[in-house]
Amino acid sequence: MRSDELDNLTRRWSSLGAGFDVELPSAVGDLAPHGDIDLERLLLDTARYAPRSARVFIMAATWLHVFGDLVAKHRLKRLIRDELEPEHHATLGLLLDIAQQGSHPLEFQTVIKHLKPAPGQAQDVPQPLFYSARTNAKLAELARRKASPISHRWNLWCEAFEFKLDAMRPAAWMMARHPSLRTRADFRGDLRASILASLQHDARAGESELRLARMAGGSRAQVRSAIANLVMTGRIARRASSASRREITIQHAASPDFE
Amino acid sequence: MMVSIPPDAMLAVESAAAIVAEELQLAHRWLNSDVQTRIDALPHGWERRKVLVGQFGRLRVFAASRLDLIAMKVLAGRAQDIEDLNAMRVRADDLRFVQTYLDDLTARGSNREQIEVARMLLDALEIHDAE
Repeated sequence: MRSDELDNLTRRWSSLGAGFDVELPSAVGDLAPHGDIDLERLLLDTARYAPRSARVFIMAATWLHVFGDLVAKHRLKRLIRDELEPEHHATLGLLLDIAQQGSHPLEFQTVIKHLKPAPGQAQDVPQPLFYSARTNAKLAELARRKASPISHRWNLWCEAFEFKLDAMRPAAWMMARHPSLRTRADFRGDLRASILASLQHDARAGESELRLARMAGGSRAQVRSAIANLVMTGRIARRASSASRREITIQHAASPDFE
Repeated sequence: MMVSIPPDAMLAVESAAAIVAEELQLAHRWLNSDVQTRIDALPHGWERRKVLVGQFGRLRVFAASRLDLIAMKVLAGRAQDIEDLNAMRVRADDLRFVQTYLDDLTARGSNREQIEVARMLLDALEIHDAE
């Protein structure tokens, strides 16, 4: 992995209020082409690259512990299925499992049940979560010895840690930089949040109701009902496609050509 | 690890930190002064070795020396400390310093299990003397 991938990951978390010693770009657009961070894809990248950095992993877990409501769960499940390589599933499972400790009901349980512990290696031996310990047998043994019960469940050893709440910026700071997170907070991560996120971040998601349902991770009936609610509140608009009367185009209210 | 001299000056620093937190919208407790609780674990002579970071009005800020930082990170032994130790490219003379430090902690009756784990970590670290 190139270090710029980890740098980019760190900057995106920093833009969401995680306290890292990095310089933030003046505009969020420098980090997120669509104007807002794609939170669900950020989680996939965290699963891919955070084993290179314990601090990133711990801050991501802390952020998710505090702001787990903002994650669009339906879309996250869809992205895990379609985009996350199987070797990173356990890392994401462990991250979400740690983050949801202390929440009632467990915030990410519906997502976690689609993730599996890391398969055993050749000798059916689990391994350290962090790469710094994977290539050194003595460090690996230390990691095993200090591993938390949760990390044992995921076959990825890591020590229990306290959430770094004193390294998180206030929610108001984050919401000011990422206004769409306010809506996500209102929806508490339900299907409407997934629909809005898909319209914003997934290519041609609004091309049809069927495609939107596929991108957002809901059933057609669930998505139709959620769309009706979003249209009623003026957050999205739907119109007949010029190509076919049976097709519709769905636009996010934040879209520049929204009418 | 943060040490305030005199100790009660930390109150003034924390007050200033609260103002900075408000202005820059940082976490309310961004300046974590709780770490003073492990002052007993600092290696002997750390004050002689400390490095001046800067003078800000009447506030003089020092950082722990490389040796002291390495020693404290070996003792803490968390995953982020191991990453830092790898990045610091620890040398044989650094390891000897930490060995002496752990011997001293043992003699002082510090947490035996923590020291044992720290010795295991010390033994596992890659040495970068050939560079």
